Amino acid sequence: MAGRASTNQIFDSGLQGIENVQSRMLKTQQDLSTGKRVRVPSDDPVAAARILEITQSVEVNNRHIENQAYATSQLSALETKFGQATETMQDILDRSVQVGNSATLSDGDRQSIAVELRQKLAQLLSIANAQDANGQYMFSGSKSATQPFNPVSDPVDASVPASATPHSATNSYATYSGDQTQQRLQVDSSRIMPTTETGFAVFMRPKDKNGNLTTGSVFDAIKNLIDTVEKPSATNTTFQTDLAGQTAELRAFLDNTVRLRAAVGARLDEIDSLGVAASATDEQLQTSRSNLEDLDYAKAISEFTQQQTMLQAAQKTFRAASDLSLFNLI
Amino acid sequence: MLTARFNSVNSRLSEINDGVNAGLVSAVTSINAYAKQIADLNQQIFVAQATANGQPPNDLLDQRDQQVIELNKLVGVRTLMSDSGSLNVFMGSGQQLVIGSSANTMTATPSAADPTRVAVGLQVLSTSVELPENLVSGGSLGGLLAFRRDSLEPTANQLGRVALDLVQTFNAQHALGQDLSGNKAGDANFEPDFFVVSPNAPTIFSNTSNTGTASLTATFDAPSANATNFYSNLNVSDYRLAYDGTNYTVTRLSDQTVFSSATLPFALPTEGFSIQLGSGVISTNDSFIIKPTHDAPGRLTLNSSIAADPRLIAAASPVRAQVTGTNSGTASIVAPTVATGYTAPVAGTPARFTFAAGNLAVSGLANGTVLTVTSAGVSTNYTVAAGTASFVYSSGDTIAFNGLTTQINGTPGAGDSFTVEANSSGVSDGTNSVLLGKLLTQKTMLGGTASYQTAYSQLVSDIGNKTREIQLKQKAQQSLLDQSVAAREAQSGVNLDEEAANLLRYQQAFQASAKLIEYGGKILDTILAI
Repeated sequence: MAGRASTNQIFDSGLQGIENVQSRMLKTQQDLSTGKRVRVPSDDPVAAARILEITQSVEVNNRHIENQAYATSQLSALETKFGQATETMQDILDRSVQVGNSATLSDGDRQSIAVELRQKLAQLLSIANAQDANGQYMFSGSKSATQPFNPVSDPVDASVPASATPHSATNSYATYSGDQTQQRLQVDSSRIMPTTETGFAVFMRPKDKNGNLTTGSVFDAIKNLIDTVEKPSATNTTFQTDLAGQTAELRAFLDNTVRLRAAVGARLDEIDSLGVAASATDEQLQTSRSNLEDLDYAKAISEFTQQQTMLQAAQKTFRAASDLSLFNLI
Repeated sequence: MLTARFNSVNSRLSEINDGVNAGLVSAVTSINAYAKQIADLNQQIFVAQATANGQPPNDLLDQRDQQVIELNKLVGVRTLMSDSGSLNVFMGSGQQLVIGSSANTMTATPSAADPTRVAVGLQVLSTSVELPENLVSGGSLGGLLAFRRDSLEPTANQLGRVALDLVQTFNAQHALGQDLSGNKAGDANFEPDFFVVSPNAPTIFSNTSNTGTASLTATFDAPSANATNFYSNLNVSDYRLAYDGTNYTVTRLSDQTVFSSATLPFALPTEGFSIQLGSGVISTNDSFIIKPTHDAPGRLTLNSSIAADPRLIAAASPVRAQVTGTNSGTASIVAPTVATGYTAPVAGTPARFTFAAGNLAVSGLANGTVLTVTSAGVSTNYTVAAGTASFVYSSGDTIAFNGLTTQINGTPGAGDSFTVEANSSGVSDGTNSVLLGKLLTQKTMLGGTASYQTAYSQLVSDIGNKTREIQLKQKAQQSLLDQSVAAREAQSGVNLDEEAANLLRYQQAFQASAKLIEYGGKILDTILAI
């Protein structure tokens, strides 16, 4: 600066000094009142862009967490149904073993067992046609408005005569009207998880213990078993072979259901661990976002105090400097 | 909500544009007023100098200096003193604003090339010549033009591109789905577009000085697809099409890249649109401005039918794959993927693949349908004839036909069959909605290299950087200005203490002189009294 200062300059630069400190104080004060270091992109353009990206990641992660909750509720409902189905099939299997092992059972005893089996068949059918809280069929695949299993006759009605030929895929006792599409949810950025099992996979064609597919449905197998048990022993020459075959088939269905139940359980476990990961991700993203945009209060407050001191100094010196005039002395 | 957000940002941007236009007009009006005053003062100074016996007309010269300072606040000008004492004022690369006692008039009128932007011009004889923007710099006029060129228009274009890419890719994927009522592409009640941009075309302005009658139209390309998702090739630039009598050249204005074609329509696949002749005849030297993305955010709405009836959202896949219930083998079929232009099997007539003796035979497809079977990277085509086509089965081969692609895996038994069929009653199928959701994080923009969010973040970062840059520039300029003012004040500013000191000095000199006169008087009195 030149050696000579005009009076205007003395006033201007004094005023400018005060204005400068004031505008910085305003910024610090806004930072303090919002708690944000980056309020507009120009505060820190790189951080602003990162914050947007992190915000999207947080949102996407939240959608995954929501989907996980929905998947958990679907899979838990499925597991419950599988539990009921397993129990029912196990009961039927127990009865068929009982019938096979007791050569002394009278026709009357068998009839009463058959009645019980019919009840169990009806029970299993109702499980297969189960609807969720929204009235959607759980085992119809994507055709959730369509009842998946429709028996040709009422399983509890004892007057239905035994079929001339055993039920099979080509002569099925209950037809499947659903499809084979599993419902899927994106539960993680890299995982689309099936949240339903179709009636086709559960009740229709499981693999037996040798890995071969059985044909027909579990309902065919049970109905065939009932027919066998109901036949009067006098006319039933192939009783033991029929029973053994049907028991084996039923066991394959039970194994299949247990396997699917385990798979559902595994998926629930997976969601648990994905949920833990998602929460960790969320926390980490929030931390990153906070590091980028949140204010360091200690630093900001110390800055504010410093600016306050500066402003006071600027105001006092301005006053002092402006009072100094030769005119005061003449 | 998304569309409303785009709309509201767009209206804010167009308000800012209106503000820029109004600012340009008022700046130009003021510039003209100052130029006229400087010219008048030149005249008065000339007359005053001629009549004032060589005494400079200081008041008038001060006034003229002040006017030049004010003019410089509006636009950067340079001055040149002529021999006659007139101050000539130039702008840009020597465009005359004031010569002696005459002032040229600047104009601010809608640009001939693009009527939505006000262009600055210089009135030459009775016509206004638009000044290239790089010639107008400095002052608030230069600032407004630079803001519009470097910040406002790129922002609007980038925002528009995000909007358009979102619409194009989302709609393309949505069109591959099936709604809750079972409607899919080709059905009368199907709504392929989730978002609507109306009009869904780049904006084109014919230069008002065109001599031909041609009216051009432009069309967006359909989004491209890679193995995972749709993507768009749109750029953020505006374009200029010019015709030189033989060739059409399209210049990408952001980086001056030139594309050339001898004919219309002019396809620009790397830019995501094409240009057609709508009507009329184009003449040599006619030009057109094409703005593909600029206006899109304001045109974006949700399809009103879908908004009114959410059942029309195409959340399901139009086809599904099924294993036949009587199959004895363990082979399974993968849910088909659907590509643009697909044809789904008619309900009740599935495409059926039946396994026998190592081959898969297809039935249910029209004669002439081509199946592409890809085995270990090698694709072979089979054409359906006499209702069937047969090819060797190999687990994991992909089978593509009618825009549908599926895969059969595992060991089929003799006579086993697999079907691809219409997804009738598939009310809980959300296959397409999962794919729509994935678009959010997929690379859907800039030719498949950036996601919506990346592009938007980039826009925000660009603007933030620009603002920051300007803030820093402002600080630097401020300190330059401070120094200049300090230098000027040091020379010509008034220091009251200095004045007071001078006052004291003159006062004392006066008192000394007065004393001298007093004593002189006394001496004279004494002498006279002798």
